[in-house]
Amino acid sequence: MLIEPKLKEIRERLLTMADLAQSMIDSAIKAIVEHNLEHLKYIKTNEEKMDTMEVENESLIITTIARYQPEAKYLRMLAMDLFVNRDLERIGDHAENIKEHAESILQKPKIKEYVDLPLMSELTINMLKDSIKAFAEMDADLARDVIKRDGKIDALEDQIIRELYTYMVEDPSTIKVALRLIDVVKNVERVADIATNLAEEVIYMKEGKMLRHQEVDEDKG
Amino acid sequence: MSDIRMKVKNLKFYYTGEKLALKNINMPIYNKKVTALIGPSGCGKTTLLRCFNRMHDLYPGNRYEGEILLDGKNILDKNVDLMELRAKIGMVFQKPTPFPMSIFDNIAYGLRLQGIKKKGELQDRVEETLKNVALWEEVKDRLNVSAFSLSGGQQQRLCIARTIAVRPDVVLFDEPTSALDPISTAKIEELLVELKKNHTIVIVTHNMQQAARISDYTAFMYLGELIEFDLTDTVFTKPNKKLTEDYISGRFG
Repeated sequence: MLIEPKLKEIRERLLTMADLAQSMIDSAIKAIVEHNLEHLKYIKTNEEKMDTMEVENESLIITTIARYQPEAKYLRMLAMDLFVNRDLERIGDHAENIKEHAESILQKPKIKEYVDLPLMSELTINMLKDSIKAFAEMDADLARDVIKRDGKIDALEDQIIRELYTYMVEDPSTIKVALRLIDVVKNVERVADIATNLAEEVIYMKEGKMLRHQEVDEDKG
Repeated sequence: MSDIRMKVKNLKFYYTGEKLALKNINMPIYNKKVTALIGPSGCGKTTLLRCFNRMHDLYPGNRYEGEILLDGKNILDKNVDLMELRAKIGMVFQKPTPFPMSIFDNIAYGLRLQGIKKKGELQDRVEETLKNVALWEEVKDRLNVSAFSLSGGQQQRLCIARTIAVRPDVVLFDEPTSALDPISTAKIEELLVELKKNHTIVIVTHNMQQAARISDYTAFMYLGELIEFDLTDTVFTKPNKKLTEDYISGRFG
Protein backbone atom coordinates (compact mmCIF):
# COMPACT_ATOMS: atom_id res chain seq x y z
CA MET A 1 0.00 0.00 0.00
CA LEU A 2 1.38 3.37 -1.04
CA ILE A 3 0.01 5.01 2.11
CA GLU A 4 2.11 2.91 4.49
CA PRO A 5 5.46 4.69 4.12
CA LYS A 6 3.63 7.97 4.77
CA LEU A 7 2.01 6.61 7.93
CA LYS A 8 5.41 5.43 9.11
CA GLU A 9 6.95 8.82 8.45
CA ILE A 10 4.19 10.58 10.41
CA ARG A 11 4.51 8.12 13.28
CA GLU A 12 8.27 8.61 13.47
CA ARG A 13 7.89 12.37 13.50
CA LEU A 14 5.29 12.16 16.28
CA LEU A 15 7.54 9.89 18.32
CA THR A 16 10.41 12.36 17.99
CA MET A 17 8.08 15.07 19.21
CA ALA A 18 6.95 12.83 22.08
CA ASP A 19 10.54 12.31 23.23
CA LEU A 20 11.07 16.02 23.21
CA ALA A 21 7.83 16.70 25.13
CA GLN A 22 8.71 14.16 27.76
CA SER A 23 12.21 15.49 28.33
CA MET A 24 10.92 19.06 28.56
CA ILE A 25 8.47 18.22 31.35
CA ASP A 26 11.11 16.18 33.09
CA SER A 27 13.63 19.04 33.05
CA ALA A 28 11.13 21.69 34.12
CA ILE A 29 10.14 19.72 37.22
CA LYS A 30 13.72 18.76 38.01
CA ALA A 31 14.64 22.45 38.05
CA ILE A 32 12.09 23.05 40.84
CA VAL A 33 12.77 19.93 42.88
CA GLU A 34 16.55 20.26 42.70
CA HIS A 35 16.35 24.06 42.91
CA ASN A 36 18.61 24.34 39.88
CA LEU A 37 18.09 26.74 36.95
CA GLU A 38 20.48 24.76 34.77
CA HIS A 39 17.69 22.31 33.87
CA LEU A 40 15.65 25.06 32.21
CA LYS A 41 18.29 25.80 29.61
CA TYR A 42 16.85 24.05 26.58
CA ILE A 43 13.14 24.36 27.25
CA LYS A 44 12.57 27.55 25.29
CA THR A 45 14.36 26.34 22.13
CA ASN A 46 12.68 22.95 22.37
CA GLU A 47 9.29 24.58 22.72
CA GLU A 48 9.88 26.57 19.55
CA LYS A 49 11.05 23.39 17.82
CA MET A 50 7.81 21.69 18.91
CA ASP A 51 5.69 24.52 17.48
CA THR A 52 7.39 24.21 14.10
CA MET A 53 7.04 20.43 14.15
CA GLU A 54 3.35 20.66 15.00
CA VAL A 55 2.62 22.83 11.97
CA GLU A 56 4.71 20.62 9.66
CA ASN A 57 3.10 17.44 10.95
CA GLU A 58 -0.39 18.85 10.58
CA SER A 59 0.27 19.76 6.98
CA LEU A 60 1.77 16.32 6.32
CA ILE A 61 -1.24 14.55 7.85
CA ILE A 62 -3.76 16.66 5.91
CA THR A 63 -1.86 16.10 2.66
CA THR A 64 -1.77 12.37 3.34
CA ILE A 65 -5.53 12.29 3.93
CA ALA A 66 -6.10 14.26 0.71
CA ARG A 67 -3.80 12.11 -1.38
CA TYR A 68 -4.53 8.62 -0.13
CA GLN A 69 -8.20 8.88 0.88
CA PRO A 70 -7.74 6.50 3.80
CA GLU A 71 -10.52 4.29 5.09
CA ALA A 72 -11.15 2.23 8.23
CA LYS A 73 -7.92 1.61 10.18
CA TYR A 74 -5.90 4.11 8.15
CA LEU A 75 -8.53 6.80 8.53
CA ARG A 76 -8.68 6.29 12.30
CA MET A 77 -4.91 6.45 12.51
CA LEU A 78 -4.58 9.68 10.57
CA ALA A 79 -7.48 11.34 12.38
CA MET A 80 -5.90 10.41 15.71
CA ASP A 81 -2.45 11.45 14.51
CA LEU A 82 -3.90 14.95 14.18
CA PHE A 83 -5.01 14.85 17.84
CA VAL A 84 -1.76 13.29 19.03
CA ASN A 85 0.16 16.01 17.22
CA ARG A 86 -1.81 18.73 18.99
CA ASP A 87 -1.63 16.95 22.35
CA LEU A 88 2.15 16.72 22.17
CA GLU A 89 2.46 20.38 21.29
CA ARG A 90 0.33 21.24 24.32
CA ILE A 91 2.63 19.26 26.57
CA GLY A 92 5.37 21.52 25.26
CA ASP A 93 3.25 24.55 26.24
CA HIS A 94 2.82 23.14 29.74
CA ALA A 95 6.58 22.61 30.04
CA GLU A 96 7.05 26.23 29.03
CA ASN A 97 4.49 27.35 31.68
CA ILE A 98 6.24 25.31 34.37
CA LYS A 99 9.56 26.78 33.28
CA GLU A 100 8.24 30.33 33.76
CA HIS A 101 6.97 29.48 37.24
CA ALA A 102 10.25 27.75 38.04
CA GLU A 103 12.22 30.87 37.14
CA SER A 104 10.19 32.82 39.68
CA ILE A 105 10.19 30.06 42.33
CA LEU A 106 13.96 29.64 42.15
CA GLN A 107 14.52 33.28 43.04
CA LYS A 108 13.36 32.48 46.59
CA PRO A 109 14.55 29.85 49.02
CA LYS A 110 12.63 26.56 49.12
CA ILE A 111 9.58 26.78 51.38
CA LYS A 112 9.77 23.04 52.04
CA GLU A 113 11.40 19.83 50.87
CA TYR A 114 9.26 18.53 48.05
CA VAL A 115 7.91 15.03 48.53
CA ASP A 116 4.60 14.74 46.72
CA LEU A 117 5.50 17.00 43.80
CA PRO A 118 8.35 14.73 42.61
CA LEU A 119 6.08 11.72 43.14
CA MET A 120 3.24 13.32 41.17
CA SER A 121 5.66 14.30 38.42
CA GLU A 122 7.20 10.86 38.28
CA LEU A 123 3.80 9.20 37.99
CA THR A 124 2.75 11.71 35.34
CA ILE A 125 5.92 11.21 33.32
CA ASN A 126 5.43 7.46 33.56
CA MET A 127 1.87 7.86 32.29
CA LEU A 128 3.21 9.95 29.44
CA LYS A 129 5.96 7.45 28.65
CA ASP A 130 3.51 4.57 28.66
CA SER A 131 0.93 6.37 26.55
CA ILE A 132 3.66 7.10 24.02
CA LYS A 133 4.81 3.48 24.18
CA ALA A 134 1.19 2.39 23.68
CA PHE A 135 1.02 4.72 20.65
CA ALA A 136 4.30 3.42 19.22
CA GLU A 137 3.32 -0.21 19.68
CA MET A 138 -0.44 0.17 19.21
CA ASP A 139 -0.91 -1.47 22.60
CA ALA A 140 -4.50 -0.93 23.75
CA ASP A 141 -3.96 -2.82 27.03
CA LEU A 142 -1.18 -0.51 28.08
CA ALA A 143 -3.34 2.45 27.03
CA ARG A 144 -6.17 1.23 29.31
CA ASP A 145 -3.69 0.93 32.16
CA VAL A 146 -2.60 4.55 31.65
CA ILE A 147 -6.19 5.78 31.79
CA LYS A 148 -6.74 4.01 35.12
CA ARG A 149 -3.78 5.81 36.67
CA ASP A 150 -5.18 9.31 36.14
CA GLY A 151 -7.24 9.16 39.36
CA LYS A 152 -4.10 8.91 41.47
CA ILE A 153 -2.75 12.09 39.89
CA ASP A 154 -5.95 14.01 40.67
CA ALA A 155 -5.74 12.84 44.29
CA LEU A 156 -2.12 13.96 44.57
CA GLU A 157 -3.01 17.32 43.06
CA ASP A 158 -5.68 17.90 45.75
CA GLN A 159 -3.33 16.79 48.49
CA ILE A 160 -0.45 19.04 47.41
CA ILE A 161 -2.69 22.06 47.02
CA ARG A 162 -4.25 21.46 50.46
CA GLU A 163 -0.80 21.28 51.97
CA LEU A 164 0.29 24.48 50.24
CA TYR A 165 -2.78 26.25 51.67
CA THR A 166 -1.61 25.38 55.18
CA TYR A 167 1.83 26.85 54.46
CA MET A 168 0.26 30.06 53.20
CA VAL A 169 -1.99 30.35 56.23
CA GLU A 170 0.87 29.76 58.64
CA ASP A 171 3.37 32.02 56.92
CA PRO A 172 2.15 34.63 54.41
CA SER A 173 5.73 35.15 53.18
CA THR A 174 5.36 31.78 51.40
CA ILE A 175 2.34 32.93 49.42
CA LYS A 176 4.21 34.07 46.34
CA VAL A 177 6.08 30.79 45.92
CA ALA A 178 3.13 28.64 47.03
CA LEU A 179 0.81 30.20 44.42
CA ARG A 180 3.40 29.51 41.75
CA LEU A 181 3.69 25.92 42.99
CA ILE A 182 -0.07 25.50 42.78
CA ASP A 183 0.12 26.55 39.14
CA VAL A 184 2.94 24.07 38.56
CA VAL A 185 0.86 21.28 40.07
CA LYS A 186 -2.09 22.22 37.87
CA ASN A 187 0.15 22.13 34.82
CA VAL A 188 1.44 18.69 35.78
CA GLU A 189 -2.12 17.51 36.27
CA ARG A 190 -2.97 18.76 32.75
CA VAL A 191 -0.05 16.78 31.36
CA ALA A 192 -1.49 13.65 32.99
CA ASP A 193 -4.84 14.48 31.36
CA ILE A 194 -3.12 14.76 28.02
CA ALA A 195 -1.41 11.40 28.60
CA THR A 196 -4.91 10.02 29.25
CA ASN A 197 -6.16 11.57 26.00
CA LEU A 198 -3.25 10.03 24.13
CA ALA A 199 -4.15 6.64 25.60
CA GLU A 200 -7.78 7.09 24.53
CA GLU A 201 -6.60 7.97 21.05
CA VAL A 202 -4.55 4.78 20.90
CA ILE A 203 -7.62 2.74 21.83
CA TYR A 204 -9.65 4.42 19.11
CA MET A 205 -6.93 3.78 16.55
CA LYS A 206 -6.62 0.16 17.52
CA GLU A 207 -10.22 -0.76 18.23
CA GLY A 208 -12.38 2.05 16.90
CA LYS A 209 -13.84 2.67 20.39
CA MET A 210 -14.37 6.24 21.59
CA LEU A 211 -13.63 6.34 25.31
CA ARG A 212 -13.74 10.06 25.90
CA HIS A 213 -16.06 11.20 28.72
CA GLN A 214 -16.42 7.61 29.83
CA GLU A 215 -15.01 5.75 32.82
CA VAL A 216 -12.52 3.11 31.77
CA ASP A 217 -14.43 0.58 33.89
CA GLU A 218 -17.51 1.15 31.74
CA ASP A 219 -15.48 0.13 28.72
CA LYS A 220 -15.76 -3.56 28.23
CA GLY A 221 -12.17 -3.77 26.95
CA MET B 1 11.94 22.24 -8.01
CA SER B 2 13.56 19.37 -9.86
CA ASP B 3 15.20 19.43 -13.27
CA ILE B 4 12.93 19.93 -16.21
CA ARG B 5 13.11 17.05 -18.70
CA MET B 6 10.47 18.21 -21.16
CA LYS B 7 8.92 21.55 -21.80
CA VAL B 8 5.62 22.18 -23.53
CA LYS B 9 5.62 25.64 -25.12
CA ASN B 10 2.58 27.33 -26.64
CA LEU B 11 1.30 23.97 -27.83
CA LYS B 12 -1.83 23.91 -29.95
CA PHE B 13 -3.19 20.77 -31.52
CA TYR B 14 -5.75 20.46 -34.28
CA TYR B 15 -7.46 17.20 -35.20
CA THR B 16 -8.36 16.63 -38.85
CA GLY B 17 -10.94 19.19 -39.87
CA GLU B 18 -9.20 21.89 -37.84
CA LYS B 19 -10.89 21.06 -34.58
CA LEU B 20 -8.76 22.80 -31.93
CA ALA B 21 -8.24 20.23 -29.18
CA LEU B 22 -5.39 21.83 -27.22
CA LYS B 23 -5.39 25.58 -26.68
CA ASN B 24 -1.96 26.95 -26.04
CA ILE B 25 -0.58 24.58 -23.42
CA ASN B 26 2.54 25.53 -21.46
CA MET B 27 3.94 23.21 -18.84
CA PRO B 28 7.13 21.51 -17.66
CA ILE B 29 7.65 17.77 -17.21
CA TYR B 30 10.10 17.20 -14.39
CA ASN B 31 12.86 14.64 -14.58
CA LYS B 32 12.28 11.36 -12.71
CA LYS B 33 8.95 12.52 -11.36
CA VAL B 34 5.42 11.36 -12.01
CA THR B 35 3.24 13.97 -13.66
CA ALA B 36 -0.49 13.22 -13.80
CA LEU B 37 -2.86 14.75 -16.34
CA ILE B 38 -6.38 14.91 -14.97
CA GLY B 39 -9.67 16.45 -16.06
CA PRO B 40 -13.15 15.47 -17.23
CA SER B 41 -13.74 13.53 -20.46
CA GLY B 42 -12.89 15.56 -23.53
CA CYS B 43 -10.58 17.94 -21.68
CA GLY B 44 -7.62 17.03 -23.89
CA LYS B 45 -5.51 15.04 -21.44
CA THR B 46 -5.08 12.01 -23.71
CA THR B 47 -4.60 14.29 -26.72
CA LEU B 48 -1.76 16.00 -24.87
CA LEU B 49 -0.21 12.69 -23.82
CA ARG B 50 -0.25 11.49 -27.42
CA CYS B 51 1.58 14.61 -28.56
CA PHE B 52 4.54 13.58 -26.41
CA ASN B 53 5.45 10.66 -28.68
CA ARG B 54 3.77 11.97 -31.83
CA MET B 55 1.08 9.27 -31.83
CA HIS B 56 -1.19 11.70 -33.70
CA ASP B 57 1.08 11.39 -36.72
CA LEU B 58 -0.49 7.98 -37.38
CA TYR B 59 -3.53 9.80 -38.73
CA PRO B 60 -3.20 12.25 -41.61
CA GLY B 61 -4.56 15.76 -41.20
CA ASN B 62 -3.65 16.19 -37.52
CA ARG B 63 -1.58 19.28 -36.89
CA TYR B 64 0.64 20.61 -34.09
CA GLU B 65 1.66 24.20 -33.39
CA GLY B 66 4.20 25.31 -30.82
CA GLU B 67 6.97 23.21 -29.33
CA ILE B 68 7.59 20.25 -27.08
CA LEU B 69 11.21 20.24 -26.01
CA LEU B 70 12.92 17.05 -24.85
CA ASP B 71 16.32 17.93 -23.41
CA GLY B 72 16.08 21.19 -25.31
CA LYS B 73 15.25 19.65 -28.70
CA ASN B 74 11.85 20.19 -30.32
CA ILE B 75 10.27 16.77 -30.85
CA LEU B 76 7.57 18.28 -33.08
CA ASP B 77 10.21 19.14 -35.65
CA LYS B 78 9.50 17.56 -39.04
CA ASN B 79 12.95 15.96 -39.20
CA VAL B 80 12.55 13.98 -36.00
CA ASP B 81 12.90 10.22 -36.54
CA LEU B 82 9.69 8.88 -35.01
CA MET B 83 11.09 5.40 -34.37
CA GLU B 84 13.93 6.93 -32.42
CA LEU B 85 11.59 9.29 -30.61
CA ARG B 86 9.28 6.45 -29.52
CA ALA B 87 12.24 4.50 -28.22
CA LYS B 88 13.09 7.50 -26.06
CA ILE B 89 9.50 8.15 -25.09
CA GLY B 90 7.68 4.87 -24.55
CA MET B 91 3.97 4.37 -24.06
CA VAL B 92 1.74 1.99 -22.13
CA PHE B 93 -1.93 1.80 -23.09
CA GLN B 94 -5.21 1.37 -21.29
CA LYS B 95 -5.72 -2.27 -22.20
CA PRO B 96 -2.80 -4.67 -21.93
CA THR B 97 -1.52 -5.27 -25.46
CA PRO B 98 0.97 -8.11 -25.35
CA PHE B 99 2.33 -9.28 -28.70
CA PRO B 100 1.11 -12.73 -29.80
CA MET B 101 4.36 -14.40 -28.81
CA SER B 102 6.08 -15.79 -25.72
CA ILE B 103 6.67 -13.81 -22.55
CA PHE B 104 10.40 -13.78 -23.31
CA ASP B 105 9.95 -12.59 -26.89
CA ASN B 106 7.60 -9.80 -25.83
CA ILE B 107 10.45 -8.23 -23.89
CA ALA B 108 13.21 -9.26 -26.30
CA TYR B 109 11.37 -7.79 -29.31
CA GLY B 110 12.41 -4.18 -28.77
CA LEU B 111 15.89 -5.21 -27.64
CA ARG B 112 16.46 -7.14 -30.89
CA LEU B 113 15.27 -4.11 -32.84
CA GLN B 114 17.92 -2.13 -31.00
CA GLY B 115 20.53 -4.56 -32.33
CA ILE B 116 21.04 -6.76 -29.27
CA LYS B 117 21.51 -10.25 -30.72
CA LYS B 118 23.65 -12.15 -28.21
CA LYS B 119 21.56 -14.72 -26.38
CA GLY B 120 23.26 -14.17 -23.03
CA GLU B 121 22.81 -10.42 -23.15
CA LEU B 122 19.18 -10.75 -24.21
CA GLN B 123 18.51 -13.16 -21.36
CA ASP B 124 20.12 -10.83 -18.86
CA ARG B 125 18.15 -7.83 -20.05
CA VAL B 126 14.85 -9.77 -20.07
CA GLU B 127 15.47 -10.99 -16.53
CA GLU B 128 16.50 -7.53 -15.30
CA THR B 129 13.42 -5.94 -16.87
CA LEU B 130 11.01 -8.54 -15.50
CA LYS B 131 12.52 -8.04 -12.07
CA ASN B 132 12.03 -4.28 -12.39
CA VAL B 133 8.29 -4.77 -12.88
CA ALA B 134 8.12 -7.40 -10.12
CA LEU B 135 7.00 -10.08 -12.58
CA TRP B 136 10.13 -12.26 -12.60
CA GLU B 137 9.16 -14.51 -9.69
CA GLU B 138 5.75 -15.13 -11.22
CA VAL B 139 6.95 -16.04 -14.72
CA LYS B 140 10.56 -17.21 -14.50
CA ASP B 141 9.59 -20.86 -14.99
CA ARG B 142 7.42 -20.23 -18.04
CA LEU B 143 9.19 -17.64 -20.12
CA ASN B 144 8.44 -19.53 -23.30
CA VAL B 145 4.68 -19.75 -22.91
CA SER B 146 2.36 -17.32 -24.68
CA ALA B 147 1.97 -13.90 -23.06
CA PHE B 148 -1.79 -14.38 -23.36
CA SER B 149 -1.64 -17.05 -20.65
CA LEU B 150 -0.99 -14.30 -18.08
CA SER B 151 -3.72 -12.57 -16.07
CA GLY B 152 -4.78 -9.03 -17.04
CA GLY B 153 -2.66 -7.43 -14.34
CA GLN B 154 0.36 -9.55 -15.27
CA GLN B 155 -0.13 -8.72 -18.95
CA GLN B 156 -0.10 -5.03 -18.12
CA ARG B 157 3.10 -5.42 -16.11
CA LEU B 158 4.55 -7.31 -19.06
CA CYS B 159 3.62 -4.40 -21.34
CA ILE B 160 5.31 -2.00 -18.93
CA ALA B 161 8.36 -4.28 -18.95
CA ARG B 162 8.35 -4.33 -22.74
CA THR B 163 8.27 -0.53 -22.76
CA ILE B 164 11.04 -0.01 -20.24
CA ALA B 165 13.26 -2.80 -21.64
CA VAL B 166 14.61 -0.39 -24.26
CA ARG B 167 15.40 2.08 -21.47
CA PRO B 168 13.31 5.06 -22.56
CA ASP B 169 13.84 8.45 -20.89
CA VAL B 170 10.15 9.09 -20.55
CA VAL B 171 7.27 6.64 -20.18
CA LEU B 172 3.73 7.70 -21.01
CA PHE B 173 0.83 5.88 -19.40
CA ASP B 174 -2.66 6.20 -20.84
CA GLU B 175 -5.09 5.05 -18.14
CA PRO B 176 -2.94 2.00 -17.40
CA THR B 177 -5.20 0.52 -14.75
CA SER B 178 -8.70 1.27 -15.99
CA ALA B 179 -9.11 -2.31 -17.26
CA LEU B 180 -7.73 -3.89 -14.07
CA ASP B 181 -9.13 -5.09 -10.74
CA PRO B 182 -8.20 -3.24 -7.50
CA ILE B 183 -5.38 -5.60 -6.48
CA SER B 184 -3.69 -5.44 -9.90
CA THR B 185 -4.24 -1.68 -9.87
CA ALA B 186 -2.47 -1.35 -6.52
CA LYS B 187 0.47 -3.37 -7.88
CA ILE B 188 0.77 -1.17 -10.98
CA GLU B 189 0.56 1.98 -8.82
CA GLU B 190 3.39 0.74 -6.62
CA LEU B 191 5.35 -0.15 -9.72
CA LEU B 192 4.89 3.35 -11.15
CA VAL B 193 6.25 4.92 -7.99
CA GLU B 194 9.21 2.52 -8.21
CA LEU B 195 9.82 3.25 -11.89
CA LYS B 196 10.35 6.95 -11.35
CA LYS B 197 13.76 6.18 -9.86
CA ASN B 198 14.95 5.63 -13.43
CA HIS B 199 12.30 7.17 -15.67
CA THR B 200 10.30 10.31 -16.12
CA ILE B 201 6.62 9.42 -16.08
CA VAL B 202 3.53 11.09 -17.48
CA ILE B 203 0.20 9.46 -16.74
CA VAL B 204 -3.33 10.18 -17.86
CA THR B 205 -5.93 8.95 -15.44
CA HIS B 206 -9.67 9.25 -15.04
CA ASN B 207 -9.21 8.22 -11.47
CA MET B 208 -8.48 11.37 -9.53
CA GLN B 209 -7.50 9.44 -6.41
CA GLN B 210 -4.94 7.55 -8.45
CA ALA B 211 -3.36 10.83 -9.54
CA ALA B 212 -3.33 11.92 -5.90
CA ARG B 213 -1.69 8.71 -4.74
CA ILE B 214 1.08 8.32 -7.25
CA SER B 215 1.98 11.64 -8.84
CA ASP B 216 4.42 14.34 -7.79
CA TYR B 217 2.91 16.96 -10.10
CA THR B 218 -0.64 17.30 -11.34
CA ALA B 219 -1.94 19.13 -14.40
CA PHE B 220 -5.66 19.83 -14.39
CA MET B 221 -7.13 20.36 -17.86
CA TYR B 222 -10.53 21.54 -18.96
CA LEU B 223 -11.91 22.00 -22.49
CA GLY B 224 -8.48 21.85 -24.10
CA GLU B 225 -6.87 24.28 -21.69
CA LEU B 226 -4.39 23.73 -18.91
CA ILE B 227 -6.17 25.25 -15.93
CA GLU B 228 -3.66 24.51 -13.21
CA PHE B 229 -0.28 22.85 -12.89
CA ASP B 230 1.36 22.40 -9.51
CA LEU B 231 2.74 19.98 -6.96
CA THR B 232 0.19 17.23 -6.32
CA ASP B 233 0.33 18.08 -2.60
CA THR B 234 -0.85 21.58 -3.45
CA VAL B 235 -3.44 20.67 -6.09
CA PHE B 236 -5.18 18.24 -3.74
CA THR B 237 -5.12 20.37 -0.58
CA LYS B 238 -5.24 24.00 -1.69
CA PRO B 239 -5.60 24.42 -5.45
CA ASN B 240 -5.23 27.94 -6.79
CA LYS B 241 -8.17 27.95 -9.18
CA LYS B 242 -11.81 27.59 -8.28
CA LEU B 243 -12.38 25.33 -11.29
CA THR B 244 -9.73 22.92 -10.00
CA GLU B 245 -11.22 22.99 -6.51
CA ASP B 246 -14.68 22.22 -7.93
CA TYR B 247 -13.35 19.32 -9.99
CA ILE B 248 -11.23 17.85 -7.19
CA SER B 249 -14.13 18.03 -4.75
CA GLY B 250 -16.40 16.28 -7.23
CA ARG B 251 -18.72 19.14 -8.13
CA PHE B 252 -18.47 18.35 -11.82
CA GLY B 253 -16.64 16.08 -14.23
